[in-house]
Amino acid sequence: MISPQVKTGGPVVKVQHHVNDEVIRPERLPNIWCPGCGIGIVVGAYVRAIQKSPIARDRQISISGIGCTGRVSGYLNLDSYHTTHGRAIAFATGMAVARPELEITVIAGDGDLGVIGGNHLIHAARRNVDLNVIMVNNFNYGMTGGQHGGTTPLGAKTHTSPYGNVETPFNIPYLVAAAGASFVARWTAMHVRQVTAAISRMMEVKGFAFMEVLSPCPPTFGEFNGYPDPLDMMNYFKDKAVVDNNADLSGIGVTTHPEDSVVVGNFVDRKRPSYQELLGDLRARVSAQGGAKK
Amino acid sequence: MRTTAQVAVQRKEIGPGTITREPINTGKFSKPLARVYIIPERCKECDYCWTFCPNDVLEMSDEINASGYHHPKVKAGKENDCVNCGMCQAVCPEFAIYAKEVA
Ligand code: SF4
Ligand code: SF4
Ligand code: SF4
Repeated sequence: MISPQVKTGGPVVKVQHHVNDEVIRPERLPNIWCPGCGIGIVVGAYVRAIQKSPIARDRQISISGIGCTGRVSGYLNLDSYHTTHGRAIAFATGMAVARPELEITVIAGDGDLGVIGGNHLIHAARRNVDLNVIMVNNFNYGMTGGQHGGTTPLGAKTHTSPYGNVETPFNIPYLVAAAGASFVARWTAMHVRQVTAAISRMMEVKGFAFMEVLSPCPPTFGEFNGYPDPLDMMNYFKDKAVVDNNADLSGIGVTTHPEDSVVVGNFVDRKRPSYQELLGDLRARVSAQGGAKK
Repeated sequence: MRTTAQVAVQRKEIGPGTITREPINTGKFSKPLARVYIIPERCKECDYCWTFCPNDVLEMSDEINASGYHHPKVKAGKENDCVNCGMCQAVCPEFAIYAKEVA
């Protein structure tokens, strides 16, 4: 008698290629990020959103700035752009206006987008430029060794705030929503499925689509603030995150204090004319009247 | 897994008015079985995959890669427990692990 073949999962199988390798540049791995850094998780979520997206791969563009998250573009097998510090949104705006058919995603850090390039962020949100912007927030300047910045929680310790930060940080989703963005979300590196789903939605949204992803940075932020191991910050996100899509955004600042909750969700998803739509209307109107008046 | 008929029998045994929590369409679904694949050289031993696997399938192996990191392995006795949920792949910052259903 032939015994029926039993299906078995078996032990781990060692291979050379990953199912996501078609969208990344596997020859550049391992990446430069520290063990447990959340940036790689965000890149994975972006890659899977691209694999699911009906938008042709050659229309997907990734733009990043400087810093740890600035390295993202270099690992993607897409047309990508590694720009100057803080200016990722400025470059992206130019590209989005010149080539509206492209699906442009800016992935950059909190220091890059929210502080050094803070004005580009609020004005792109105000104009509602049709872009996707993912801000990986690690609460400090990680690449340069851990200085405090505009997103470092009050009281947090870094190399440049060894007795505790005396500055109140930006509450970035509140800021971007107030400036006028069509879509505003916040998730954490622990909420991988929600991050992927939000990126898919951001690709559909017309107008400025913004997501903050809180991310563990074990060696330069976690180490001095009670989260030295990669798992510490991930477990904090897991235990303390409260999903509230209708949260009052004025009260959702992040403290990283172990007792304080972290409010996450897709907070804003509204219809507002995008900059490109208004610009297209203007062009149509002016050319209908035979060009600009002399 | 029980069929709808078996669930109905069980309901009868428990008695009328008792709410069982068995979804009525369980018979339509089968539990996926998947195999775990890793690229050892990319792993940085962040602990995420074996901590967050909801079925507790993975653990750290004794082997190390060229950078000195221990990569994951399937726990002894858990060879048939991966349900292809995708969590390890999603949470890995390094594109070092994924699961695929056994055909
Ligand atoms: S310093 Fe922080 S943000 Fe930069 S790679 Fe390391 S963990 Fe990531
Ligand atoms: S796919 Fe899910 S069940 Fe399988 S090993 Fe990964 S996390 Fe565990
Ligand atoms: S999540 Fe990835 S990098 Fe981390 S231990 Fe598992 S395989 Fe290694």
